[in-house]
Amino acid sequence: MIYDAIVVGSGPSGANAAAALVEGARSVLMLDVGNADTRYQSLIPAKPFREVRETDPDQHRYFLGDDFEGVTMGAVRTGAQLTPPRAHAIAETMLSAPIISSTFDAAESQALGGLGAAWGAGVFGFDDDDLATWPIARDDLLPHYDAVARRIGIAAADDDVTPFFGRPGGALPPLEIDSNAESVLGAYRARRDELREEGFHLGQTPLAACSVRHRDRGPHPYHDMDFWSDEARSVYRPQWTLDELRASPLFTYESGSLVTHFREEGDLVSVLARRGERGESQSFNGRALVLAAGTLGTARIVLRSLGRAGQRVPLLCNPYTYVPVVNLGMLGREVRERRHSLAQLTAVYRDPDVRRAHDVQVQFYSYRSLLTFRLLKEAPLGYRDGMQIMQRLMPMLGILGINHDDSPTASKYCALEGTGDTEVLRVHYELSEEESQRIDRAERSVLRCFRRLSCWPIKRVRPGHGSSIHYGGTFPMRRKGGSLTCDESGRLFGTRAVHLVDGSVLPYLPAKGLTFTIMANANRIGAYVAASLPR
Amino acid sequence: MPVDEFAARDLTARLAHEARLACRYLVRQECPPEMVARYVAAHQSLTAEPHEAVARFAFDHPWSMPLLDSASGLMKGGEGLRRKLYLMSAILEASPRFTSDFLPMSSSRSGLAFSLARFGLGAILKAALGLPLLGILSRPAR
Repeated sequence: MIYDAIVVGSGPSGANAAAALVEGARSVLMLDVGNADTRYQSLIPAKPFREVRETDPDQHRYFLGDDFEGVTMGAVRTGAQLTPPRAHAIAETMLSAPIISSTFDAAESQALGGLGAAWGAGVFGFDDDDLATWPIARDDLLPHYDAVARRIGIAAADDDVTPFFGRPGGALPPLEIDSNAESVLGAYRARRDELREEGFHLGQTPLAACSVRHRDRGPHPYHDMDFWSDEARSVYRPQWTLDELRASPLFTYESGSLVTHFREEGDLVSVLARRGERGESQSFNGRALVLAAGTLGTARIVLRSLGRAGQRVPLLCNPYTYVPVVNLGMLGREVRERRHSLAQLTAVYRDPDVRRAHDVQVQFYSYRSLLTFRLLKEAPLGYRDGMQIMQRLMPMLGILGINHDDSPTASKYCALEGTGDTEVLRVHYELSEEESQRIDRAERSVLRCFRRLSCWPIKRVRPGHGSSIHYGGTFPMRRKGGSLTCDESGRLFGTRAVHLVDGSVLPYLPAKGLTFTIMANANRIGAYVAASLPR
Repeated sequence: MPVDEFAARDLTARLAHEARLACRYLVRQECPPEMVARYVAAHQSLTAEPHEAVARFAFDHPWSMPLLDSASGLMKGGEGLRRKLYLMSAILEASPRFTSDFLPMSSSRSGLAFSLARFGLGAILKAALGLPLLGILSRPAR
C-alpha cells in the first residue's frame, strides 16, 4: 500500500503531525517502536497518594519496581525523576541506539507517546524574540498553538507570566495550586512591583491537563499521583491523540518498528524498518515522510540515509539545574492533601541590565509524591535523623527546576560513527566559560528573588548536560537553506518530500519548555504536507 | 553441599540479619518477614556491596550504627552502609505498616524549631563521635 504520509515516532510531534494530516484527509502510516508499560499501570489504584501509601500492600511493586529499578544507586542522572511506571519512556533505548559521550548524558525514547509518556506537561508558547532565528513569524504559529490547545486541553491562568507564553484560544480554567504554592504566590503578590522591576515574574504554570471534562478526558482528580499513573487521562499524553486517530480509517499504527533509513524514488519515499524479535527489515512506501523520532533518533535516520556518517551536526540542549528549597512561609500553615503533582508555579527572570537578555525559566514543584528515600540519599545526614527531619520539613519543601537557553557553538555537536552493529552516535557538549558564568550569575539572581519569597535554597544540583531532556538544533530551519538544514516547511534540504517536525528543526532553544511549540510546529507542517500533496 | 550453595546460604542469612537490624535502627520495630525477603531480593537486583568494612562493622556491632550512619552522611568512607540503609528505608517507606514514619508531619513554628534543634544537634553529636571510627574502618587494608 502507498500511504499519503509515513510518520516516524509517536511522541508529541509525531502525534500532532499525524493528527493534522488525518484532519487534512490524508492516509497516514505511523511507524513506531512503541514500548509501553505492561507491568505497573494496572496495579495502581485510583486513590489519593496518601491513601495509597496507607492502604495498598502492593505499593512496593510500583513505587520501587519489581526489580528495584526505582531505587537508583549512585549520583543523580538524567531521567532520575522517572518512576517505575514511567521508566519505559527511556528504557532499552541504548540497546538499539547506543550513544558514546563523556560530556553528555542523553535520554531518548522509543516508547508509545515518546518522551510525552513521562513529560511534565508544562506548555509555553514562544514569543517573537524566541522565534527571531526561525524562518517563520509568531503569527504563522498562532493558529497551530490554538489547534493543539484544543486537541490536548490546556489549563492556564491569566497572570504575570502570560505575556511571556501567551494563553491559547480555548484554554481551560487553571488547575488549583497547592498550599505550598499559594504561600509563595502570596509572598510574590506582596512584593510584586519591586520584583517585576528587577526582572522577576511569577505565575501559575500553564499545563496540558484537563481542569474540566475535555474530549472524554479528565477532570483532574487532584490525587497527587501524576508521577505514577494517568488517572482520568487528565494529563496529556500523545497516546491519547493516537487513541482518537485510531478511530479513523485513514490512520494505521504499526508498533515494533525501528525505522533505519529512507530513500526517495521518483514520487515516493521508501522507508526501511527493522521489525520483530529477529529485526527483519521491511519496506514501506509513502508520498511524504514526516520524521518525528526525537532529535537524536531523527539525526541517526537522516545521517544514515544521506550517507553522512562522520559529519558533525549541531546539538542544542537547555542547561538545567535543580534546587531543593525550604519555604518558611509554610510554617504554621494548613497543608491540603488535594493537589496535583505537576509544576505549581513558573517564574521568568529577565535581567533588566542586559541589552539582549537570556531569559531564565524556573518551575516550582512541591516535593510530596516522590518518596522521601530519594531525598535522604542526597542529604548530609544519617538516615535515621534524616527521616525525622524530612518528615517535618516535607510540607515546606519545594524543588526549583531552572532552565537556561541554548545557542549553537562548535563545542556542541553529534555525529554518527561506524556502521551496522558497530554504529554509535557520538555526542560532545561543552559550555563556554562565558556561558557558564552567565548561567551562574542568572541562577544567583533568581535564587535571591526566591529568598525574598521565603524560599531558602538548600543546594544547587547540576545533574549534567543532557539532563533537561530538551534537545534540538541538529537540522535547523533556515530561510536560505543549505546542506543538513530544513526550509520553513521542515523539508530537509536536498529532498523532495522528507519533513522533520521534532526538536531537530529548532535553530535556538529558549529557556522555555519546548514541547508545546514543537507540537504546534508539527501541526503546522502536517497541515502544510496535507495541503501540498497532490490528490 | 557445594561451596557455592554454602556461600549463598551464608550470604542470605547475613542479609536477613542486616535487614532485621536496619529495620530496628530506622523505625524501632521488628522487621516483618516479607520485608526481610524484599531486602535480600534487592541485593540480587542491585549492586549493594555486602562486604564493605564499615557496613560489616556496623551490622556486627549495632551500637555503632547511629554513629557510622551520621558520620557517613557527612564524609566519604561508608558508602556500603549508606546504600544498605538507603535500600532498607525505601523498602520500609513503600509499605502501609511503616508509611506513617515517612509521611509529612505539620508543625507549629515552635514545634518545628524544637524538632530541628533536637534532631540536628543529635546528628552533629553522633557524627562527631562516628567520624574517628569511620576513619579507622575505611582505611585501606594493608
